[in-house]
Amino acid sequence: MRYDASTLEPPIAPAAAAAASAFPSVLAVEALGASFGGREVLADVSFEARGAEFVALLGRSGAGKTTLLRILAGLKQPSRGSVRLDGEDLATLSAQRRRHIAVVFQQFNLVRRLTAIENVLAGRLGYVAAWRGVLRVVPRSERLIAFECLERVGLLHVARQRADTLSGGEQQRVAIARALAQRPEVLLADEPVSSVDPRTANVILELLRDIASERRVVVVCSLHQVAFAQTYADRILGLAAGRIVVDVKARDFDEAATSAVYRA
Amino acid sequence: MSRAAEEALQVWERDARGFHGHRLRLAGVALVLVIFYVVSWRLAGIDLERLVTGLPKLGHWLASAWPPKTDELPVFLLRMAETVAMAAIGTTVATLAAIPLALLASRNITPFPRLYTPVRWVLNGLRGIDAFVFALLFVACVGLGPFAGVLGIALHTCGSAAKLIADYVENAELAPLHAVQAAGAGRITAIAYALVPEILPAVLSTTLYLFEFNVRASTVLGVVGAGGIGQELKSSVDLLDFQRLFTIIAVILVAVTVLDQLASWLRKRLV
Repeated sequence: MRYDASTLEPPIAPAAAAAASAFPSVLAVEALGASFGGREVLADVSFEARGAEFVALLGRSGAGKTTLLRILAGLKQPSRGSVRLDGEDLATLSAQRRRHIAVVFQQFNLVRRLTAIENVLAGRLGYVAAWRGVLRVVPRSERLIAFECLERVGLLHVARQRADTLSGGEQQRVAIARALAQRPEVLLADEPVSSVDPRTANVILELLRDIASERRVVVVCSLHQVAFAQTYADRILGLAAGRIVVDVKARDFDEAATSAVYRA
Repeated sequence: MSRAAEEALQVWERDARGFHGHRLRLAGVALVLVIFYVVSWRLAGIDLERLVTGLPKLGHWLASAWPPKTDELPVFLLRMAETVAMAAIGTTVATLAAIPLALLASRNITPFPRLYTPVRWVLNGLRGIDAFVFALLFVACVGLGPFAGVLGIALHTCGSAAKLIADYVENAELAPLHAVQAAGAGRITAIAYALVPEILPAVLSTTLYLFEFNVRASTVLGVVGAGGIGQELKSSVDLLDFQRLFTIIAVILVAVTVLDQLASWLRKRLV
């Protein structure tokens, strides 16, 4: 599970790049299992991911990708096994720490009637007092973080447009900015490019890859196209019938791996 | 710290502080609202003093309403049944008449786009005039009794039902309809095959809702002589017979509650 240094780009010093493989494991999944009404959806899923690692999840529909992401996001309880963030069990993680896991959804899930910047600001809600969230009165420093995150995804110019006036690709980038505003250690993306055109998909995946390396974030991203995973991910996990059948560096994902993941 | 983000925030802050643009408009709207409520308060003749002096009278009546008079209960039950029957027939006739009107009033599927606006106007007219007002007119033309009430309910409800159904149709997913048409079905066939299943639960649920509403509305139609328990209600108030009034109100409450429960149970099973 060596870190691929080729995806590291400037702000990061060469020395840091050399030390990349020494990044501690941020996310540790151990013997995870999940069942829906007696049917096993995930079985014995184990892997570890280090900071700055872009992990792509591949698998046929129903292979368990979404369930795995939902468990990692804390939206669903596993039946067996554990997930650890920096060594702390997800099940007992405080709300304070939970905000370090951010999620990007396939359908963006923005608040349609709020502006782009207000949607990004939602990523800071875990950091400010509840009354501030309700009245939408947040400190200047928080608002500045939101503007910076929106700038990072290249959408400063639409900051004050309502979310529902933006294109699909722009909405997904706003959603990524919202995730960034959480200052995440782990960014989970459930088929983030299934609702956008191929060109936009490239923009979004490039963004996720760069965020992973710049900010030392673990990105776990489920995808439906093998080519996207090979181009952008550092590592590919292949799920079939709820089990990990492939766990390789992206450049080593070959014909054999493809058929292992997608065989009938 | 990025310059561009800092600048964008400064622009945002300037706009958030200043009294221009949409903030000025917001202040304008607030001012209009205040004026509206002050004028409304005056026009509505709100007089809290009269409420305070009048309340003890109400208390006295309430006290004299006990024990309720039950000797006329069979009559009240019959009148209540009459009320429910008026609502049931009125709502059903209205819904049946509303379906073709709704198709004409749905911009996306109407076969006669020219009729769209006139039909919408007619529906607004029907909806705008209350069943009570229609009943008043029909009492004058078909005479006293529940039939006038049924006509009043049917006309008003027809407008409401057609508008609600048309709104469902306009928001319905038309892709399946087009797919069925592309498969060679005619227009009417395609609507029956692809659109009706889509909107049927909504239509039935709307009908049930309107029925509940009409049962409550029908209880007062008797006041203008259009049948139902409202006649008994009015005569009790006229005679200041509060024991009788109490019984009637209790009958109405029980009937309305039971029907509401029944309708919401049915609605859950439909949707």
